[in-house]
Amino acid sequence: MHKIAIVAWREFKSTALTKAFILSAVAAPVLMGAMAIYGPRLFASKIAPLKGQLAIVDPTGRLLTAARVEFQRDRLLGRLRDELIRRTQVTKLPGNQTLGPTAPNPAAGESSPEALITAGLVTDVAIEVVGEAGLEALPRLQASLGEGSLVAVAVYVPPAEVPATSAAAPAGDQRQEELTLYVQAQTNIRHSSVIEDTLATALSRIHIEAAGLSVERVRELSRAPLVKTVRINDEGKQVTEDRDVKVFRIVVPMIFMMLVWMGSFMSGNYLLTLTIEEKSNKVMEVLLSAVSPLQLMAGKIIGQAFVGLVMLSVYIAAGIAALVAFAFVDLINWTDLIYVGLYYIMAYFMIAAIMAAVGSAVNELREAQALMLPAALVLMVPLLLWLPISESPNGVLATVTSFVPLMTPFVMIVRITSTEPVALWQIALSLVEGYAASVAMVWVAARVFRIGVLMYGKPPSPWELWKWMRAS
Amino acid sequence: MNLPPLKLRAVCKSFGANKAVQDLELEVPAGSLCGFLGPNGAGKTTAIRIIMSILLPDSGTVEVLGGSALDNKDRIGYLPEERGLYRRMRVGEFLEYVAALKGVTRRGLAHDIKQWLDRLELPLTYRQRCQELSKGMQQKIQFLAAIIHDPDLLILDEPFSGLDPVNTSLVSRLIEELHQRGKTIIFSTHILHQAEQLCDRCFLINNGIKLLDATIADIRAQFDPRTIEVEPLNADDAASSLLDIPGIDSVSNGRSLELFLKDGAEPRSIMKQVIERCDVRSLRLRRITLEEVFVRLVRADLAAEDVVRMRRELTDA
Repeated sequence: MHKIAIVAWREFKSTALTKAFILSAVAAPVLMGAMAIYGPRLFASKIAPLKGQLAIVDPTGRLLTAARVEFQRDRLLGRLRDELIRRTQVTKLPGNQTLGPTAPNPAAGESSPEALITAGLVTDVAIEVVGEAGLEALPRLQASLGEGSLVAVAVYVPPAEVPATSAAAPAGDQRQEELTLYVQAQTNIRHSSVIEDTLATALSRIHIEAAGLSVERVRELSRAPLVKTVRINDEGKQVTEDRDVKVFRIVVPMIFMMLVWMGSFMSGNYLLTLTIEEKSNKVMEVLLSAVSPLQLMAGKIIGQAFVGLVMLSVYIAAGIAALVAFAFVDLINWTDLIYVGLYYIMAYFMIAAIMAAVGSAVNELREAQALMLPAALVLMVPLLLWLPISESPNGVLATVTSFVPLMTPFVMIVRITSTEPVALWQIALSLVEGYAASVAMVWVAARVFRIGVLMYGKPPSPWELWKWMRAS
Repeated sequence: MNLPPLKLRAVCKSFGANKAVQDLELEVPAGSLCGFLGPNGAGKTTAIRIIMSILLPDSGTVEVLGGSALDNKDRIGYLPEERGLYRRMRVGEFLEYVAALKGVTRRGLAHDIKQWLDRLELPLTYRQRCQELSKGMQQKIQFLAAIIHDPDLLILDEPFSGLDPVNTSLVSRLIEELHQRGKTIIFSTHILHQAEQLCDRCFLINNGIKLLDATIADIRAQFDPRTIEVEPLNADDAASSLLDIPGIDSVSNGRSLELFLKDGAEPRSIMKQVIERCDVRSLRLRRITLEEVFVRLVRADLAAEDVVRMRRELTDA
């Protein structure tokens, strides 16, 4: 037992306590977490404010009037904020600042436009609208656009004045109005789309006024609150509230599965490369004069298990930190984390068994890939199927794949962390089946390892591996 | 407590159709320094791996230090033929790791390791990475890894391969010193004059079969001298005139002439005849070297029954 611990400690030390590991496996998620929290502020400084003059060629003068209203700074920023809320379904800024309710009373608890601009969520806009009556001004305006004295030029053709250019347009046919926007080639897309959207809003203002209605009234009436979906389970208890959760409902199971997949694969990979290194360095027999092959393999597997646990903990901690920062902490189901831990250990032992067996049998990494292919294909399945499985966690596909040994841990994590509860007997059965499979795989790996570590020369065929396994 | 540290009884091991070791019987007395000889592919490494319980024999029993090598790993020092170091590990760290695996956890280990490194003429390597060392230096580190835990039984598979003459004599001095401290040492080699200089006993295997197992003194007594070395004053015509002497099988013409005697020929009368036929600067009956024994025993054209016969002769003697 003592020797296993020594091997495990060396394995852990030579993997986890290296600069490369700390940089790649630990610093990466910490950095990702930091980006998630502070990223918007970093980006905020990079979005240049949209400032300058917009020229509108409008023979009627109606669009010009409407545009002057819609381009008022407070009105425009308020509209951008509502749009943001509708798109992201997020009503809170980092640091629990509210973005303001979407409807119906926008007065209460609104964030100031400045706060949104500072947070990098809304572009700062200050547009002065100037008018031109005739189309003959267009070349001159475009020239000013090129010089940079204008940010954009809009040309409005009202419906009545669409010229009947050909016979294709019979007389009396109602033609749609046209609006063309000219901007510089290098104009930021966010800037041009703000101008496009605001002009479209101005057009709708003309239409509403033309129908003799109150613009504010129509806008107020067409505003609808987001539909709030509440999921309840068999006992009528509330399971989740969908409002801010829709995206997370799909993404969370995938994230958990990816975490376990990456954690077990990365540490399994370290196991593989270190074993191959020991073989190709010929240090293996020196080790075997001090420990038995079984002790060596056990030490290596245990050492790398801790490497994986460190990685997984760092990733999960970074994830939780990010959720806390965004005030989504109530999304985490803490019992799910226990399951994730249990299934991680299961997944790790399965993958580690494969890696140890393959690593012991080959002489270089290239040869390992060929031997790993069948297992890798099976392991890819949960990655490809996570969407249908998380959408229908109790469907036939999900249930069947839950009990295919290599897939069990990954599929079960997706099922448990998605919304529909999974029958307890299935969880229990999958745990029993999965752990039995891991133990069997480690046992097989030990038999291959024992012989493989001393074999040099050409890599074994699957048939030879089978013979090694059967050998006494 | 003079149990033989190593005892093999009827050990057989095959890899498929290839019989690597056949019916191997060995008994190494405590405190002896044994050479384990044989040409490449003779089965030396397989036999050593069986002794170390790295391979299990198909049949037969192995007793190392009164039990299995697995139970006594911490009392055995082993320098495998396939040996290496962790390339990126520091020398001191590597030796401490190996020592820890061998159950040495005492304080002051680092100090001891540094002293050993000084003795092996590797000062200041303690903090160097293994990959920064030359091949010869790495060989010495590996030797040190085999003896760092002060084992009672030392098994060295080709300990001198890759060493230059200076380091070879350094390592042989260390082996001799360990021998004098009462350790039992077995080392395999195919460089015979080394074995001859160092060992007090040797066994020879070929094609997995033991051909010889005796002390060096016994071997010399058993194989009577069959070569007469002549240094003639006038080398040009001496060779042809000497070939006529009855009882001489062949003459090799190097710096001096070597006359190989036929079986049953009487060395004394032949030497007399040599003096009669030419003027000599020196003339001597040469002691047989292990090399000659080796070549005589391991002749590729030896028929299987000849091997069995020879083996019986040699071991029954």
